Amino acid sequence: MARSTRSTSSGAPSSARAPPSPDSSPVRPSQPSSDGTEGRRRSLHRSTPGSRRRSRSSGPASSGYSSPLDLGTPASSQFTRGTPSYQRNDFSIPSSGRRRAQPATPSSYSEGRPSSEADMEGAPPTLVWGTNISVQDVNQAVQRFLRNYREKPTDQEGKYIQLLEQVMEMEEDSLNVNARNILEYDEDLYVKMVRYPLEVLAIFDIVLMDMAVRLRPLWEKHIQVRIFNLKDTVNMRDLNPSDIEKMVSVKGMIIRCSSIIPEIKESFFRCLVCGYSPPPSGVDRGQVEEPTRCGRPECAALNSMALIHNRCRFADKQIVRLQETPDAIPEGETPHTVSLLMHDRLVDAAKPGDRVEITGVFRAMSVRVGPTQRTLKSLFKTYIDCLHLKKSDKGRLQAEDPLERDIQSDNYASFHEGDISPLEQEEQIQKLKALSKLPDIYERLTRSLAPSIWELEDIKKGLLCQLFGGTAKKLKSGASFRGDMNVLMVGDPGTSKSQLLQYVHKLAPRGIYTSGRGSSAVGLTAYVTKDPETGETVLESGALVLSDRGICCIDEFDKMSDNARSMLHEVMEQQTVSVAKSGIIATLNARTSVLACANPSGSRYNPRMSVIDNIQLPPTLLSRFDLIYLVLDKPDEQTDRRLARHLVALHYENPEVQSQQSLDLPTLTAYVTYARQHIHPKLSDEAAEDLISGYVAMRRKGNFPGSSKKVITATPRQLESLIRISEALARIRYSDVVERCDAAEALRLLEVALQQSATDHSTGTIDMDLITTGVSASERTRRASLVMAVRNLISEKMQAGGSTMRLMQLLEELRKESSSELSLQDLRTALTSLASEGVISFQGDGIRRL
Amino acid sequence: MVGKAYDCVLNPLGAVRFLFDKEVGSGPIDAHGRDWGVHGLFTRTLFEDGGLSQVPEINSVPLHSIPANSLVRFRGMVQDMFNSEYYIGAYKDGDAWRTTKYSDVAAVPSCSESSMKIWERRPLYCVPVPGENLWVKDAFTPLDAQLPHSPTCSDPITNRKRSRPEEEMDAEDTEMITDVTETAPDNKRSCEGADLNLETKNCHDDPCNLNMPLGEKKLLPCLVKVYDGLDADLKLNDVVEFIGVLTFDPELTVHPGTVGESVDCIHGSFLDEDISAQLPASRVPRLHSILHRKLSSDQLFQAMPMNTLGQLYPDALSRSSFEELRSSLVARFTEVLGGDGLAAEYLLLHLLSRVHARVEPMAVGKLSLNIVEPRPMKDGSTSFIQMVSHTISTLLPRSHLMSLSLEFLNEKLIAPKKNYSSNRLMTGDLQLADGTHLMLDETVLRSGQLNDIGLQNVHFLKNMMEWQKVEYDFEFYKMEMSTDVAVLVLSAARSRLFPSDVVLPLRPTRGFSSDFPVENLWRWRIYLAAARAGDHTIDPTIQKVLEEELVSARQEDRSLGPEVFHRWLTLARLLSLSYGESTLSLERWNMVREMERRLTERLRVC
Repeated sequence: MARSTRSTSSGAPSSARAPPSPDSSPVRPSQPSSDGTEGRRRSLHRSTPGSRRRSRSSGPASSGYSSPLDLGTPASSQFTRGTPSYQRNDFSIPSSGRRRAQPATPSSYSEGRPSSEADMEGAPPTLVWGTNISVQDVNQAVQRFLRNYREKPTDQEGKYIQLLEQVMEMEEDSLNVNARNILEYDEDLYVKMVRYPLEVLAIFDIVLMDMAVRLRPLWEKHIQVRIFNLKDTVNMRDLNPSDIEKMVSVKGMIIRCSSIIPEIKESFFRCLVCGYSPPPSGVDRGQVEEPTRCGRPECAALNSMALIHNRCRFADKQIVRLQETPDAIPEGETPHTVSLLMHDRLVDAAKPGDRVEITGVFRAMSVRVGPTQRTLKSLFKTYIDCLHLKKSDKGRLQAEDPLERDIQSDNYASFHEGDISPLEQEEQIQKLKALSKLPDIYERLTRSLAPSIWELEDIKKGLLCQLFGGTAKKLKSGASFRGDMNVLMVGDPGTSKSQLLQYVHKLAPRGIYTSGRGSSAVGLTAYVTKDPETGETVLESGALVLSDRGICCIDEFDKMSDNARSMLHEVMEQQTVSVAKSGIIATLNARTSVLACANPSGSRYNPRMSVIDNIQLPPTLLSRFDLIYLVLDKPDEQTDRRLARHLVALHYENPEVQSQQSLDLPTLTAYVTYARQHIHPKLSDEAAEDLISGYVAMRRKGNFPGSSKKVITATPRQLESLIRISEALARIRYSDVVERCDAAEALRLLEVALQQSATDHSTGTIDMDLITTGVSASERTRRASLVMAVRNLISEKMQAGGSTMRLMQLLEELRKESSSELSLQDLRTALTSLASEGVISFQGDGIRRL
Repeated sequence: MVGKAYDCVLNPLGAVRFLFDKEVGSGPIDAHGRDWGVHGLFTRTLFEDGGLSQVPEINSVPLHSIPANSLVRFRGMVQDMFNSEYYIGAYKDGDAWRTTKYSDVAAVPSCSESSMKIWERRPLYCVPVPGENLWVKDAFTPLDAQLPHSPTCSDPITNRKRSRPEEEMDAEDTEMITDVTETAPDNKRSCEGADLNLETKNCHDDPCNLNMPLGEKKLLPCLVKVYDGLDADLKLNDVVEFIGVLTFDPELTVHPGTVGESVDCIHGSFLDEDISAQLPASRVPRLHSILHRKLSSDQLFQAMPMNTLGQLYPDALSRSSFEELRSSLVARFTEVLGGDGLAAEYLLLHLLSRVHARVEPMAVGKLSLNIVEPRPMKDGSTSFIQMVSHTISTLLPRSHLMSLSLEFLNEKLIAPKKNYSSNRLMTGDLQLADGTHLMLDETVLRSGQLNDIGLQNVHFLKNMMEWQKVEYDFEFYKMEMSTDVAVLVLSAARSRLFPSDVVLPLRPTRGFSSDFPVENLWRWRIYLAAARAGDHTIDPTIQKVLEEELVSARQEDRSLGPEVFHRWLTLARLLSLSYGESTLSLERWNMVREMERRLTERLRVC
């Protein structure tokens, strides 16, 4: 039979295993003398290459379960099995079995085993697998590493000794080992581990058990090593045959998970005639060997053995498909996928849609056309035996606050590996930091933002500030100030506003793009629905809630219904959304920046109307925008010329040459991400001074000497905006301090924006009043003086309770007196306000003094 | 061995083995299975010694007439790219090494795991080029291989073959497969109806859905396996001609029914990446590619066999004939468009347009055209659309007419979508090779409700027209694939649904002429392809002039925005190319301004 040939052929490797076993013998002082079954099982395991390490690891593992089971009589063991107190112990068995299960999978297709494995045959006993690696050496190296590795030389105890204690404390069953620690401590060991993962990991497990038992002599649970954070992550499409049986690390997105597959690990039979049960036997090559006759000599009934499912041992297994993430796919290609085999704890650790980084062993197995046929399909199925899984979401700007994540979680607990900056990331951070040191980084970033969009430099700078954001502050009193900036762009059609919006949306964390036209109030905020099946009331998040800690891009802001817009008031200042429907009153976080763009009311900007009239948005909402840009198509030959040059160049020159100086999208994203996570600038005293003086100057502006009218140029909201902008500017430089230059630039940006958005067309000065109330201060004084003039005129010409005066008559009189233009409409407005004061009564065309 | 020990065309594997043995003799086996002189040999035999004409094209001759394991050609579009396959590249049989490169099965002895090399190859699913016009197909069919129109539309035979007992097919000695598949010479769309039933049955979620583009019924797709990393220069939607070994091993196909029943999940479909298992070998031939060449639209003519082209090619490219061809073509278009010369000019420039640069997110160089023909939908108008479509299809290698009826828009998505249960990309009508011409017939669109799918389809079309990108749906994310498809919209009024770069109200002065002369066809085709591929630059002095022109134009008319300038510059470039000029002259620029002026006037009257 095939079995016998195999066991002879692998005789050599099994003896190669021999040296370490005395090493592990002190581990199991209470090990029952191997009865026949145990020995037989092992010899069976030894028959396949992969089982070599199984036979090793089964040593300590079996000490966990074999003592109660193998020593007990069948009846008693059956009893104890059923009691809950054995449940946990039971549970540990599959996990120890996992180590064995792992090689079992490929070994069942061992015909297709790659040559690297095959070369091991016939190796001299002291060395392993046809290489010059000695088992003892590796064993010692692992011991040295686990015992002595310290993160800082000052640490009292080795890192992994501490972690092991923690794991034992928590009764966990695996210990995560950072591969970079191994690399740092013993590069040779790292290389061996990556090249011969199965063998080295087995040694790791043994050493670990050894240590565990030394820490607590009664410890019997098996602890596995889970390696993570390899030096190099392989691109899925770069995996090739030379990676087979190597340890690899792959990033991707999970697209499908199979249901959990219980895999039989140990079969338990009972004779239907006499009730005799042989000790449970292992499963070889995925096949259960069914005894044909009862093992008890007295019975020896033929075909009487039945499998007792409840007493067999099963392990969880799951097949998961991993697909490349969009950023890893070269242009014009479809994404690659790879199958993962998950075991035990890793089962269901991730769900479809998760972005993960997995570490595992790349495997290939051959496929036979039919069980009886000699021809092989000559094809291999490939998959990765997963050792470790780390969820990540690096595609977009990371929206999460780094402090909110549990940094400590990485070395034990479940499979959320924290970010102890891997070397590769470290490299990138260094690169980013180097970038931030460039003197022209601000300009460079501006150029990189939507490079195809011509000009609009200052707007891009504003958007850049919005991307970086200010720092949110929370006072002890409970008051909090938002760090998110809101930007509004108003402008003529065809000025690439939408393109800018799209670009920011692509770049932004949790970017949500919505059009004001389509979104109802509920679409933008939260929506209450009744679940048709259960009748439960469900809150469906709308765009704003979905973009919590992100940027909500709203196109066609002007087309939005008033109802939806009114929701924005709360969002933009308090950063929450309140929903009061169907009896539910909920306040949801919406810590979002709003980037909106709108067309002027008459679709084209009318310079003769005030900005407010052009924008047609309620002033209360407008004042909540930090920066309001008017993207106007001003007839300016200089800009036209630049536009022309830009377009001609676009059509006739190699566009690549132009964009040399800018950052590509991933770099830009990484740059912003890092800044948002790690840079929290504080205002320096000088910068604060500058901001204050700038703010005071802004307020003072328009305060002409000799003119009694006082134009309010800025409001406290603008001071807040200034602080936010200058903080964002400091972030752009990766600076922890807001310097004077940031303050100056912030003032300039605000001024640029304001100059456009709040130019009073009658005075030409910056006029915040235009934004906050909708009427300019000069307009207001003009109206006030008109009211005064009318009041004077009326008190002069008319007696209280006397005859009425015609409206036109009054207009004539006023025009005689005042030099400025006066319209009937203005007069009516003035009269209405007088009437409300109770000075006159004003009906139809007649005015009567009261 | 003396002389040639093999015949490259009839026994390519013999050649491969011969070279392999030589390689093995000279040194140890390369672990990665690099090329051992096979490429060189086949390039020499096929391209230098003219062996190419003897190689049958899968879709030109009936598949049954090609012996298995012989050399074949396949011209198609890469529709889906799968994961790399690992296969036993070489194994030791006794003392000698054998190779299984360029074949599907190996008689690998079970116990030989110690002496095996694993190599890698990339399977690609290729379909006949979507929208490829008949004249291209005919040109690629060698005259001697063209069979009389055979009426063998033979589902029963196909079915019979699939159910054939496996013993009949020994993998190693299927030298002659005399089975009939449903293929037949391709220029016979006349007998489409016959196997419609079979196809529609397969259209749905059938695991062996052939995924044919644009409702293609006659031609065969092909599963191509590319070796030695030669797939590196191949991208999705490339048009490629593959030359390689045709294999036929029907027993490798898992019958659809058995996949789901498989108990052991490792063997089950979930892990099963082997795409060939899903596709019946009788309907999807397997081709192990030895050589391939890309056929982008300007390379298409070079790749055509000489007998169809004859002397035309060099002749058509000379400068003097360029101008002459241009004027005759414009005259022809004028006829088709009812005597509207301006429209003819625009149509020509539109047909020459292609995306020549991308400055994200813009695609520079595209010029979509909206011909507005407002006359009520009488018989004349319908035939007008067909006539334009016919004219284009006889001139361009690839074109497609999409009738945008409500039913069409609402029926199914026109952008590709990944189906994870079969692990394949389900194609959509917008998965087109670069250089395909797409005509949208909006005149058939009636008022009515657009459903969810319809809305998405409209969005896809708009996106394609504006950015030349199509979103492929990979469920967990969407991927934007760049395309280069010129879109012509025909509508009764200016299309608001699909805004084009140029809106052109038609002003016919006489009836639309439908007869089409043949004598100049080939020269026109070559002219269009050559002009389209032309390179174009601009002189710095002209550049200055252009800038001045744009500035002054804008000073005069504030309504001229960047989009108008984009159009002008694109038109100027295309106009120069249409005259075969590689630099822009002032004369052409003024012609563009004049064309635009006339168009603006026409629009104002509207």
